Amino acid sequence: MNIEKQGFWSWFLQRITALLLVMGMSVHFFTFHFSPSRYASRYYDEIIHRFCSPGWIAFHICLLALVVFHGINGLWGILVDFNLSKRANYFFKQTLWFAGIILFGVGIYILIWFTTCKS
Amino acid sequence: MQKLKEGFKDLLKNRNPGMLSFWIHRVTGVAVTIFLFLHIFTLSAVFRGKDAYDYAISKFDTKSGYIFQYILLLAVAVHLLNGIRITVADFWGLTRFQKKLLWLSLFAFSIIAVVGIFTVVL
Repeated sequence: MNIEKQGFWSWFLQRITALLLVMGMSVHFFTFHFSPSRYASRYYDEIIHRFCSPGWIAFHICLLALVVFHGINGLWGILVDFNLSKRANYFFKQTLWFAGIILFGVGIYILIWFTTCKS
Repeated sequence: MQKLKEGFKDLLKNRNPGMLSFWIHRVTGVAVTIFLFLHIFTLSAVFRGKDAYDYAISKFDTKSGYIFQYILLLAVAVHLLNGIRITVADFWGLTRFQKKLLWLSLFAFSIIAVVGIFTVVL
């Protein structure tokens, strides 16, 4: 059945993104919350000087994609457990898709903004 | 809502570490996803310029901001470690050892919690 296949991919990708997020979030948390320069690293000038290299931008795009997918797919997994009606399922699915696209789009736009509007 | 009530009843009936970790995983997952929206919203202050961005970020550089970040760190850490436990049990067929893995992840969590006090709060 198609539904079973969809369920498998949702489950499988949730695990894969989780494993990738362990690495990504570790880097993110170390840089912005644990390292000695963690306070300065959050501010505009420091972000422009340290985090606008292609490597960091690529890292943050990947991290954003992973975290948005993992978060939205996780919420979908919880909703599926509630055995909602077909109509409610459809509504929530569309809402989550919309929220995910908006979140990812705004996140990408923020990253583009940082790389193009240097001080 | 009925399903949610049933879930809480299940939790009260089956008071075991597995059930508790299941609930903690879900609650922290939802909380961190909600925070993701707040995080993107905060960062979007950059559209209003450098000063607006720095001002938005400075809101998190207060005592209450540090406590908020610490709670966030705990939520992410507990979700991450429990997630590793679930994935390891799922992919490597270690379901029999899931209780041991739970205590192991709690041990790692306590280390992160202690280190976090010094690096995030203080």
